[in-house]
Amino acid sequence: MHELAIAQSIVQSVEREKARRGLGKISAVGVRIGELTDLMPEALDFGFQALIAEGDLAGCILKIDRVPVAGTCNTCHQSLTVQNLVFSCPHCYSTDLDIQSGQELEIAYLECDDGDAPLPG
Amino acid sequence: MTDKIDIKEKVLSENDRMAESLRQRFAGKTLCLNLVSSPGSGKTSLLEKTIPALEKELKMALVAGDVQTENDANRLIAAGGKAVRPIVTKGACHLDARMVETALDGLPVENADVLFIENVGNLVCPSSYDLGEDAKVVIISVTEGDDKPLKYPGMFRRSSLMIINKIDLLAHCEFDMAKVRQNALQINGNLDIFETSCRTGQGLDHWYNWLRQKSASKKKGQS
Repeated sequence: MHELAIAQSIVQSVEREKARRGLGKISAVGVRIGELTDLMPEALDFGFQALIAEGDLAGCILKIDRVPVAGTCNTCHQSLTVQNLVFSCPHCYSTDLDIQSGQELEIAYLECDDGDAPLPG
Repeated sequence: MTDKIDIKEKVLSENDRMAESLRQRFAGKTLCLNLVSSPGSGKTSLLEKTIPALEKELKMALVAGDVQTENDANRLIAAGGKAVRPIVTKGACHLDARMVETALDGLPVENADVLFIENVGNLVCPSSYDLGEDAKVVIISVTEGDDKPLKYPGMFRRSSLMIINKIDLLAHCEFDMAKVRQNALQINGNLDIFETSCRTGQGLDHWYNWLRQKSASKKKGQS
């Protein structure tokens, strides 16, 4: 439900980076969204497209990479991925976990068209 | 030609920067708590009880967020709150660090022992926004489902304390206390859990003691 506010922050950051780096047309924005952020990719994309429809970024695609909840067990020290929100180690059942990913909410990259692509052939 | 440019910037970096500056402002003195829940779980009621119970021990500042109306802030003032500020978000479903900073303008929050931020009633959106708090306190009530922690894992994972409120109504509800605890601890094994009734006062001493301890730790630079 706050996807529109998050989309607004993404658009602002992209516009800032575009100006700061003097970039041309941006064709795609890559974002990494952790599974624990409670964000719905479809709603985020909908908000993003609605916000850029008439501006400089019109036509830009939002590429969403979902990041699983993962980390290391502090008891048996094996790496693990949290499945179905069960925060316990699948190897030794310890609940003492060091969760290292799943909260991401970041702009990973921009894809830019420099506009003078050579003709094929 | 398409160029790929690495950015690796947090989407909410602007909010995080502002939250960090609030955190600096509260350092070593003011315990800042972000109270989150569904609408109607008892955030305001909990604070209405807390203000008179602890006013002789702790200086409290309070910020009350709501989508519309200043009703909650007015209730906190009526309960004896001396440093209360409303935030009316006009539709936004969460508070962000800028709203809190603006609300604190002119409030000598550095002199307070505890700053309570009562967030907008919502278990989804507020979880993404750092407000400079030391801890999130999530409140649920027995009139809700005991599977709430599983439905809103992001919020329960980020909270330090869960208060289960309205236990005076337990006999009338299909709410399994053992199950809600199990569900919450499955998401966050470090969660402290208290059962309270703001109506009868039952269990509130646990909350007051938790506040006393957290406030003392904050002043010792331990939180």
